Amino acid sequence: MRKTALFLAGFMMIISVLTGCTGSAGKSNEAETQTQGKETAASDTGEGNVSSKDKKTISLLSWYTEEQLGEFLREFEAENQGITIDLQYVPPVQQYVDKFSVLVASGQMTDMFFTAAETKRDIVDKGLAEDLSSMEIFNRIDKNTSATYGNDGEIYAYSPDAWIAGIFYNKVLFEEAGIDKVPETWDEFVECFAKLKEYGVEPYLDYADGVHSLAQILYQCMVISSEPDADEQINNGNSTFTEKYTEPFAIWYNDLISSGLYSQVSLGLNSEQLLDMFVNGEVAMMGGGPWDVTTIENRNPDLDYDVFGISDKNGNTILSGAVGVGLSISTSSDNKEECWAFIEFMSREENILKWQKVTNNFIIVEGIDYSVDTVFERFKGDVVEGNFYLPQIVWKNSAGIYKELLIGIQDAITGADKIENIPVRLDEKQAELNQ
Amino acid sequence: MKLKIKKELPYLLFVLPAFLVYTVLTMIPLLQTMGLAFTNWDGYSLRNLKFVGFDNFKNLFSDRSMKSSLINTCFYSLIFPVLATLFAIPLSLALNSKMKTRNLQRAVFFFPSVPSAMILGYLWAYILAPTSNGLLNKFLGIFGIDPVLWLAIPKWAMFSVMMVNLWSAVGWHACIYLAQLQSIPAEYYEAATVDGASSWQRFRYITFPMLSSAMTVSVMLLLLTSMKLFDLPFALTSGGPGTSTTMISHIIIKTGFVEKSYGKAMAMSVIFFIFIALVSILQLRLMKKREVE
Repeated sequence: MRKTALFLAGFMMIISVLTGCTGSAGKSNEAETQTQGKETAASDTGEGNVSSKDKKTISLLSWYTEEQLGEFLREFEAENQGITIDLQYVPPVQQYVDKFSVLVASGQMTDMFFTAAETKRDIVDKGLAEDLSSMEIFNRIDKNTSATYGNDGEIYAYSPDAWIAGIFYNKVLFEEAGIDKVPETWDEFVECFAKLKEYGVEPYLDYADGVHSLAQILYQCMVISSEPDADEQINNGNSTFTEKYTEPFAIWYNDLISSGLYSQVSLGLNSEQLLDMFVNGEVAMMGGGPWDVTTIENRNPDLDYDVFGISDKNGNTILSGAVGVGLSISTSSDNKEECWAFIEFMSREENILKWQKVTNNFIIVEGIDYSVDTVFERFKGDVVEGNFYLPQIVWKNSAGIYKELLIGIQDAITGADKIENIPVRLDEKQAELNQ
Repeated sequence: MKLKIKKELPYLLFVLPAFLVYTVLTMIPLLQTMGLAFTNWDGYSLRNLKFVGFDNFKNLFSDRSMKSSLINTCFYSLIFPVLATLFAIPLSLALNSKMKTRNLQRAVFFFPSVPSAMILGYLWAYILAPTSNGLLNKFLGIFGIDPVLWLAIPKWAMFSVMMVNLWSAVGWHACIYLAQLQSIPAEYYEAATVDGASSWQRFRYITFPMLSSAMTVSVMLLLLTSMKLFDLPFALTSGGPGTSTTMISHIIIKTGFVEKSYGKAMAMSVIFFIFIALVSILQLRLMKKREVE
């Protein structure tokens, strides 16, 4: 019995291993052929309608919710009776990036997905997305802007908008604390902290995964304003994180952390808790973007708030912002025609305008008249001038560096590491990931 | 020979489905991982795969995050099984007593082990919110205690992870002990009572030794789950603040899926597998010695 069982066991294992290896290699070769061939089914489609001969389900990995995308999906499905879109929502940012990575590694990528700053490099380098550059809409988007998700003339994601982040502030609390105008320099910003703290209200909070934002914005204002290619220099080995990031980080740390003005409470909050605190008037300022506006106004329509951008000591401002996440078609999709039709549908002018109302972002497609009916209207000029930046878009090993930056800043806040070591750790991580 | 095969075939056929599932879902990935740990696999394709020898194993433990996660995992794996056992045994004794509500109490204490750790993590993140509005801080505020930064201070964050896991796991492990308690012959206690043994003496000389086989199983499961811990710290603290609640499993996932260093992540997995196997074998050998028939 035992010998027979052992023999069977060994035989099954050998067969299974051989089958598994052959299967994965074959599947990999197939994917590579698709990537190298760069099949584009786009030219066959033209319009946004697909015949209803075959019923198909196309999957979409999204960091927008059913609430935000649902109307567009239902309209598309109504126009294209044979197609159903299966929305798979994952909250941004890190969870989306993690899920994306897992799906790619396991060969389970959805037909369509949203390309984010953190995944852009992988998508470009590994050929994970179809080239969409032949779409008519890109004739109406600035070449440099659309190149955010492109490489060598090819474009891998469609995005009609850009987002800008700022600092939300409670106008009533500001007034009560004796702050009569929004800060225009870094020192005035720090002074706001002190006045609010003296008044007895929490001046500013982040959520745990966003504690790096102030330090990063200060770097943008201090360094990127005069050296727009600073991060490219780091990528190319002509500079280092230590050279570029040390001074802004030190100023952030000395002015806010070691002074006790920035609360460690941030490390224990998630984004929902932070939003709740802001709308309930428990914190005077928080970082955020257009995606928060609807939630703020739903939870507390009476909240008197506004937004401003941070500047450095000399008043230089580079806002945090980037082209919005873009829709991509997976090179491994079997439904490229249908996916293309959906992107064509989303790129219609009426849908771009409707989408703008959902995201409250700024439209980057020329010739569309619109208004941003939120506090972010003040940044429309900055978008036109391109006065926004996000290092994550530029970093060579974006996902790994971003994770190390976040952990490093958290360590600096808790005192587990010195602030001057954080850029050094980024350089070490860069060297490790470049191997 | 034919007769032998005919006789054994039904048994083999019964085992075959489970064996196939185990082979496909466990053995094959394990063997592939061990093989790919010696390559430069990028996680996307097997093209340009190169054998790199032990390169992925070198400098594994020089990484700052890896060192930190190793310390956290060892600390957690040592402390948590002890704490869980210390709580589970008295609880099992209480649930084995002749209370009228014991069936309800068994269900109540078992229930926290049912929801997934991810759900528990998200739920407890609100209970342990570091502001005065967090449920636990509000409760402590009644007694005049200032809000505690449960998830924002490294030592409290680790404590919080342990506390939530303890709350979830104790009932389940108490059931293991409860099952064993119910197999202890009542005559032993009767004889001890006749001989004048106190409650503590009955526990010390009858109950505790008789629970040894259950303890072997319970401690082994606690050790294994502690060393592999991923979901609860991920949901509750995302491994933070910093790396204070980052476990080895988080580092393996980060190295593979975030940093795309799949070869290195697989090398870590192989080392981790060997480590867990050795610890489990040692634990089983040591604890089996004290088992009472």
